[in-house]
Amino acid sequence: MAEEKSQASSSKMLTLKASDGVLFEVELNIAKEMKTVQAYIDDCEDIETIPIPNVLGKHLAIVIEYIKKTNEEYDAEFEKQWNMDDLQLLLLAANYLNISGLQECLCKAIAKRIENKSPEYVRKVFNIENDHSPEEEAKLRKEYKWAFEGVDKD
Amino acid sequence: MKRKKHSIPSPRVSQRSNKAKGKVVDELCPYFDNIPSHITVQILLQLPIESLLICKCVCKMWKTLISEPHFAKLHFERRPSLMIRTKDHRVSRTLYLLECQPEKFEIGTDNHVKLQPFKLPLRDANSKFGEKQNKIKNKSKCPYIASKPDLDKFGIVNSCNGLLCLCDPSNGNPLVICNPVTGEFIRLPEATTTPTLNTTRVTREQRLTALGFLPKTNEYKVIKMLVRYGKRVNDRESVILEINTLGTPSWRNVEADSQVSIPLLKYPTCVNGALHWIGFEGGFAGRPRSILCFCLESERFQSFPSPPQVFGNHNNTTRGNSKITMGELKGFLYICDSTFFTDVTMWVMNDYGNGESWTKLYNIDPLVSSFGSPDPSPYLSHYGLCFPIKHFEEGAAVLLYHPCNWFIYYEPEKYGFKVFQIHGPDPNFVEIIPHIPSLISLKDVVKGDNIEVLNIHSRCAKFKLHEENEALSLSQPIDGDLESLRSLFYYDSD
Repeated sequence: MAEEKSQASSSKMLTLKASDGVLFEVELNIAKEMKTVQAYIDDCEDIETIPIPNVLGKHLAIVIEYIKKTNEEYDAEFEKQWNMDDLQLLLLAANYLNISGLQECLCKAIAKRIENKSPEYVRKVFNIENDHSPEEEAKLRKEYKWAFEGVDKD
Repeated sequence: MKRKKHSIPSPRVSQRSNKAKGKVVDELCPYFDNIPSHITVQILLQLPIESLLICKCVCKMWKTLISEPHFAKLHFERRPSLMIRTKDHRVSRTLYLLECQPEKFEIGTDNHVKLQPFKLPLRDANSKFGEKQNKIKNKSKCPYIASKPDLDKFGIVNSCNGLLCLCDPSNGNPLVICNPVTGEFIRLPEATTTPTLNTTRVTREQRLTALGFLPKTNEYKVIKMLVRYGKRVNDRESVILEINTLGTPSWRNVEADSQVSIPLLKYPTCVNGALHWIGFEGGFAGRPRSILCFCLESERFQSFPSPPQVFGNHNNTTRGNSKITMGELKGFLYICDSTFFTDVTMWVMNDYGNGESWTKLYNIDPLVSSFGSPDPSPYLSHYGLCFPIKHFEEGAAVLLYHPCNWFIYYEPEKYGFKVFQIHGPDPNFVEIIPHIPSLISLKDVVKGDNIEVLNIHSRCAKFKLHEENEALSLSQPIDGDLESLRSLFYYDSD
């Protein structure tokens, strides 16, 4: 009985609706890689269209493509195509949709881009305001002077 | 039965003003203003230590995230690495971090990759920086201080959770625990006087020390042991055992079980809240026979299953040639046997405590037989030290050390063999310490005010030893296929 069901469900299609209204038709087994979607389906089996209000169509397309194609080679090339803004939004999407492989891949990619960069650069990337007092910051820079040597120029 | 539908948070429209780039972007995202901290942590965990310390400057929240003990623990589980230091007549207070990342090297060039140095404290610092010496004349003109290896050098006992146990090299007495990355260190309490025994009956003694970690209570303990062996075969050895729990101001005497016989012990390794050593029979250059285990919770010795296949093989080995080391990687105990030049093997205990679970992981055959020289030479005593350089489940990768300061990196699936040369001031021998850098702060370890946590960087940042101008670096002069490796080593170069 369970086998029949899985056979039927593997060809079933599901529609995902991105925040900007773009619709994506995906196979059930692809959609299930997104654990958030899986939970949605578990709750209401008859659903056909699932709203994904936190992710733009552009990013949802990338995520779906990733799930279909992921392997070691693909992952290595994947992150090179996107700029920092897209990487961050993709990470938020992967986190919301709960796709662990993609999350890990994106975290590594973002980390690689901020590795050995100055605090000013990192703040710009993440749009973070510096709330350290000048004394606090000076103290940290002094304590870890060795770590600051050889930092990439902005 | 209908279950409640999942509620998905309703979208919130916000405008992002991205001043740095001079554009305004409309987005629909619930976490717009800042990435939630658990995601930031996932990104930060991917960074190497130096970048993490730089990121502490980014903002207060990041500093808090990075400084949390739990973060240090998660981050610590990254790839294994080694610390090396020159093994010579100097103070050798500098440790160099060796993380094996072959992709960072350019093959065939003379491009040197400098190794990140970390400083150890000085043993005799008080005489240089003590209160009497608050003002050092001409400090701006002459930042160098004199050092005396006899007084200033530390021996390194073992590494546990990113902390090093340092001792007096002349007598093995543990003196300091330090974290070379953060620069923090603490001095262990003064030794209590040990009762003298009737020395006419004593032929030899063994002093043993080690640092261990007990996860159950989140405590670090240093143990210090003096074993005195009698002249006659049946003489019971006498054991004086003292333990200091880091953060407490004194050593505790602990009664040692007289039933357990203590052979010559080497390679202290802390796994699962217990310290392990390999026991050698037959004295200093003896054969490995057993593993002895000291449980940090019960503070008692107990036997431990050893890999019989490894230790049994040494029945026919001539004394002095055994080259067995033991270590720990992500909770797994491993033993590396590089005694037989045709066969370097690594064994891992897959299931802690289960003797049957000792599994042979690697067997590096052709490599070693290429390099063995027919005549035993002084170099061979250092030959073929072998260390795992990747977590076992991530695939095989080991580092072999050849005493003319070559490292042979062997990762069969990806790179095969790669040869690296060490360059430095006087690099005939280096001492290798398996050590994973960690951000664990000694302030979190020694809770309370009993013990003062000092820092190398604040105390004597301005002053250095002359030897600190030197640096160790690695290069990869040749491509590591077996043919070229053979030719390299038959002409044992400078």
